[in-house]
Amino acid sequence: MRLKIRRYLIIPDNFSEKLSNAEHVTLTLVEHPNVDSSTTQTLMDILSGMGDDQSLELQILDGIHLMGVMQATNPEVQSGFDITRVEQQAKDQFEVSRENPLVAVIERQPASEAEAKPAFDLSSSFVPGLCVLFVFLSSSAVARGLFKERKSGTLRRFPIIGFGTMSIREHPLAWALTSNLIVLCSTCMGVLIAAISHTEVQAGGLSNALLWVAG
Amino acid sequence: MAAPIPRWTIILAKILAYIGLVLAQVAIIFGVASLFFEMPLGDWPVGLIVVSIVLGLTSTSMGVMIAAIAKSDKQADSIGMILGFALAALGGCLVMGSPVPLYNQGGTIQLISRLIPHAHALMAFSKLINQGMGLVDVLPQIGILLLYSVVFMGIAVWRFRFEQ
Repeated sequence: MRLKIRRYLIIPDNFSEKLSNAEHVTLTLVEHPNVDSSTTQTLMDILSGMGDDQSLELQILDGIHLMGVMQATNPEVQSGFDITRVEQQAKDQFEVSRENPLVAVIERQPASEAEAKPAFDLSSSFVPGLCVLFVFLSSSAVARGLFKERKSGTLRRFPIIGFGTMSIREHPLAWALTSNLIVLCSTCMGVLIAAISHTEVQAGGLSNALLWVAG
Repeated sequence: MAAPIPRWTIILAKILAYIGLVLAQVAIIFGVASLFFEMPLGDWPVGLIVVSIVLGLTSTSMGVMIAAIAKSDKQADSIGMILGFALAALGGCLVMGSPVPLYNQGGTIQLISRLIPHAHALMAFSKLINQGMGLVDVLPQIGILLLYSVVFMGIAVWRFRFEQ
């Protein structure tokens, strides 16, 4: 089964241990720039709530544990730790955890190259898609060109013109290069004729004259 | 025929000539994307060139095959355009809003997509550009594209007529 990863959560090393030691820890939610923001907000709320709850629980437990230690080391203060005192301590810890939670959740987009690698890049998928599309659309031009050549008879005459002395078996690249050069020359000549002609009729006449004279 | 040259050599020469034009087309598209839109081109330019050459071979072979089986230039044009867009859609070239390409979406659509040469060309480009892979990693895609080229060219040689 293939999974689509749009967000991931980074939990720092020794998360629980740091919380037990009352150290601040940060959870980082890394997300793709194009993900749905409302879903991200919901996820952030859930993570923050879980973080706050855990922070609160640990801080209260720490407070009670501290009182237990104090009580064990000094039995004389035992009377001081009555139920009212414990409740007050728990409330204080609750307030502290609300004002200064140990767990923070932040949201960001991939920053480093390693993080960004699995992310989707529109230009990287868009451009090759268009490139492959255009390349295969050119097969239509290839087919049309071959038909025109067949119609005009150049395809049949192809083997007896300038290529006659060149064996395609031995020099296929030279054959291809020569074909490209002929295409380039004829196109450039067409552009030249278009540039120096004033009307369409003049361009047609000029190209015919050049073809007859040059041919 | 005016000279004792096998017809496959002339078809091959035509294909090689058009490959040059396809390479120029690919170079312009990727060049503009890289220069003006800062699109990464991966760490293997040689891989991109090899894939582009094979892609050119496949597309021109398909063009010659279309010319061989069509009965008129208009029919060839229509078949070429329809095939061009339909295969591009099935191959995943037109799926631009999804982070998961069509050939990886699972199920029947993935199966159909992977039967299309476009999908394998896209897969090769994706491996080289997005996933940081090298030439060796795209050899399966290159092999499949070459296989398509051989099939297209075989049909072209079989059906091609030099005269009307």
